[in-house]
Amino acid sequence: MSYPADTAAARGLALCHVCYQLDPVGRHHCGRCGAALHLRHANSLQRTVALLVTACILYIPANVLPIMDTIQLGRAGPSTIIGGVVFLLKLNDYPIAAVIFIASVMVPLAKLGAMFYLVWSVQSHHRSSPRQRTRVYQLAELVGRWSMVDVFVVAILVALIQLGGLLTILPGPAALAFAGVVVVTMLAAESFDPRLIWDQAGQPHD
Amino acid sequence: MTEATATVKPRRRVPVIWLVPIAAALIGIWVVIYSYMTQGPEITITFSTAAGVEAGKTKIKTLDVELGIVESVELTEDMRGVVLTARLERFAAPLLREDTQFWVVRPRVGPGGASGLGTILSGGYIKLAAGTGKTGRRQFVGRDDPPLTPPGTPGLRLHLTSASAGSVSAGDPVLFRGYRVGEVDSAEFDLQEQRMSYALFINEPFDALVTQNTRFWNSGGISVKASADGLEVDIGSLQTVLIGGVAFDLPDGAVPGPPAKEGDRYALLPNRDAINQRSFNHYADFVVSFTQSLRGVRPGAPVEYRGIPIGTIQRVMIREMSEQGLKGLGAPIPVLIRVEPARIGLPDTPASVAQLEAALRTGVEHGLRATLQTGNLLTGSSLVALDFHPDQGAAPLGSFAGYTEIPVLAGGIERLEEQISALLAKLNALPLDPTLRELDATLVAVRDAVEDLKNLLGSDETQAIPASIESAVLETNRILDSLSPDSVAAERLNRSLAELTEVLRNLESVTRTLADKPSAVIFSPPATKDPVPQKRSSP
Repeated sequence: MSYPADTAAARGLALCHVCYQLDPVGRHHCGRCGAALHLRHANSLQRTVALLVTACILYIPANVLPIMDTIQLGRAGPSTIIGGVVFLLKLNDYPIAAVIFIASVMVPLAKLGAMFYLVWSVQSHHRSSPRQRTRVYQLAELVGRWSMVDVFVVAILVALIQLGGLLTILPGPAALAFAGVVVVTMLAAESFDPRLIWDQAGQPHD
Repeated sequence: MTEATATVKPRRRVPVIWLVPIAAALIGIWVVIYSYMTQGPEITITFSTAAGVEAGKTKIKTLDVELGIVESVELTEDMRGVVLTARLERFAAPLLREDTQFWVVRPRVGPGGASGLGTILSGGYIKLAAGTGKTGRRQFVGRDDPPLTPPGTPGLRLHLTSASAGSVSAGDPVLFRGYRVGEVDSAEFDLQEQRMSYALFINEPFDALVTQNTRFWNSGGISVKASADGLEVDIGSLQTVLIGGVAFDLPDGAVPGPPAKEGDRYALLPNRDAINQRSFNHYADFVVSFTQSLRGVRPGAPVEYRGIPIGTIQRVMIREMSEQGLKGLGAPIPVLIRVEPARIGLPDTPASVAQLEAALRTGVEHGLRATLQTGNLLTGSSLVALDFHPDQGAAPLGSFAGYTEIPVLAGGIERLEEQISALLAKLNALPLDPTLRELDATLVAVRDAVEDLKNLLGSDETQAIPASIESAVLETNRILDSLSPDSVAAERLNRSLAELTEVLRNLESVTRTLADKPSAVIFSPPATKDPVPQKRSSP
């Protein structure tokens, strides 16, 4: 299948990422605002991969360390993300357990997986449908931010429940790591240039 | 691209972005390494039960400072206990010494009161009491109960042994003159030595009271002693009566001596009197043989000279008697007595013993005898009394089984029996028949006299006496009546007296006038004017 090749790149024009003026590719600076001109985001793939790797590194402490510390009558109860999900399941509170699980476990993993797939597909010139891949990218970018739900839950609990010795909730180190994971994946999605999908899809194979 | 343009290829260089994952990775690795390096020691504690302990939750604390957390709880290999693995903080490492103790703080109620009630709400925790030994121990055996005196408390630890358990158990107070200065930490039975072994703890600063010469005794319960001296009941405080306790003090007249050291061993004596029973090193043994009943003769009973204890009865020498063939039943039974010169204040030396022996020998020549007397009628215990009996002459000192024998005299109840029988014999010997006969004759004479008296009383004259007496009395009465104030004679007398008084009064004025003016006999006194009432003149 061939796609209409009437793109700015095909005509040798590059879009300034600051003032959105089309300039010839040969120029290295925008005629209007003087910002550096790139046809595609510079080192998009590398940056995406670097950030994805960072997110993966941060994901380990986010799950291993406790995200929340419940002190109930002097009894300390640190809990990790998975530990919290299991605890809610034991209480037969399935909806909230499902929410936490989806938001804190499934979504970040899915987003990481999707981004890795996209990067790989561009790098290896995979022949899957670019439209679908663009959909995937769109979804990943939209949904990614909702992983912050878990962090917000911890923050609100910590702020509201301060009953002294009776019940006190303290944030754990995993909250920071998890917030880092979400932010970094958002940055990774940001730095991936989806035009690359269409670039390699439009070109004939060799 | 139709124009030939110079393709400008930017020099390939690694984008800066890679610093981000590298930094993240480095930080992660550094955190892991750091926590590994600053990790504290891991210890294992063996308990008999894991009640109140949860893996990952139960903390280990000392002085309410958190030292670590129990990581895992497992059964021991022989399935009879539990092994806890815990990781402590670095700063807790110096606390892990040879005698560091661990116990689970749970709600407990005991003779000392209730403890650990806060753990009902907050959950149990393991408490650590640091010891004073060498550091570096990592495997511990936890206690089931908290130690009564935590290790490291300033004070003195001692060991006592006793033959029987008595009423002393862990937690009992240690008293000095009634004041609590410490407590019994543990009471265990040593199977090897077959003795009870107690560990005592005496708090500072009272540990200075314990010296090498101190004696400990069991002051618990009520001690009742029945001996030749009488009945003695001794109780300590109410707490010791109910719970029991150990007391200590110096024996009478003993010097304190050097202070006791940590871990010194003492014997636990059964009662307070036992601490005064000094063992005298120098003594002389004698034998006294009695024919009377030896019931009540007990070893340890006193040997007295006129009430002053000079020794003790050792034993009844039955064995020696049977060895000698029991020659003839009815032979006196020997009793071994020990005379200790130190009891009467002589120095405890062999010279004093020789001195005492010489004195006894001389005494025996002058009538010193040994008698068996009842010390206490209630308990029936006897004692041997040495005394001079003037009616006894010189007697030789005998010898029996190698011991010098002091001659005896029957005494005590025996003597009383003797005296009574002597009295009865005397009574028997009294000449009663002639006495009775005389008595009889006297009675007959008395009877005759009574007969005569009866006759006398029955005669007429005697009967008439009362009648005449009666008439005389009546007469007397009449006379007395006439003399009474109401009678006529009295009245007349009164009247006469009144007249006489009147006359005298009249006479009085005359005599007065005459006294004033003797001339009034002849001349009449001047007449006085009668007073005339007048108005008083105004002032």
